[in-house]
Amino acid sequence: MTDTKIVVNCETGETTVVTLTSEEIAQREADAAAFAAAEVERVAAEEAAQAAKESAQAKLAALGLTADEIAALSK
Amino acid sequence: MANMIPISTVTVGSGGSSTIQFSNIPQNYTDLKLIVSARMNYGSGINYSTFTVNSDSPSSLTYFKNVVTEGSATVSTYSQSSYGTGGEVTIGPAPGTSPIFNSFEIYMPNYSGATYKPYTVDLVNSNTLWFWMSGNMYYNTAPITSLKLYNSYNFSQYSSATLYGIRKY
Repeated sequence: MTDTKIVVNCETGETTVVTLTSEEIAQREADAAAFAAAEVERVAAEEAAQAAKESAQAKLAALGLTADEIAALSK
Repeated sequence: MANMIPISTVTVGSGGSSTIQFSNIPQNYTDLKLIVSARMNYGSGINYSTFTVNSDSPSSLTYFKNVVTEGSATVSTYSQSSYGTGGEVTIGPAPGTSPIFNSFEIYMPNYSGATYKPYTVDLVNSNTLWFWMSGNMYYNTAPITSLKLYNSYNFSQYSSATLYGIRKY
């Protein structure tokens, strides 16, 4: 499959379909890889934060705080 | 009263295309608005499309975004520094797994001005049930003359993007 881009010239209204250069292909693949890596990092950070929150809530509950009191602390 | 005037529309043909680019954007409007309805030639998961301005790399764009996912009462907040490069829009997945087209809108006020340019992105992803709003900044004082959307997969046939000019007077 040929990699293409659609370019519309907003001044003339002309639309052309052109084949991507090797540099453009490399750039978009690099960007996609960067986004994928960032997403893995983001999900891991979110899961770690959630685990820490649940751990803290459990410790507070063990100290005798009610659920409402624990919820009030995070507002 | 502001007028929203269509400048150009791109509709992807059979075979798809990985990139949609608006070039030679006229400078005689006050704001720009880009409305996209698209799906990706991608089997599963989330596909990240990239949004760039002029000939700059995505790193010239930063964002601070809020993401809400279905079933979650929590708004997740991210900034570029903790999340990666800017200019991201998330649309996938698509044919074969779902016929759903997803949409996003980009609003760029003062796009021809000689200052840094803040802009907003509103996105709905019906496949992954993401709702996304972000405040962004294009860190360049040059007028915006070109906008480009691209990704590692193809925009599927019938995906479309329309660029509007906003004229306030």
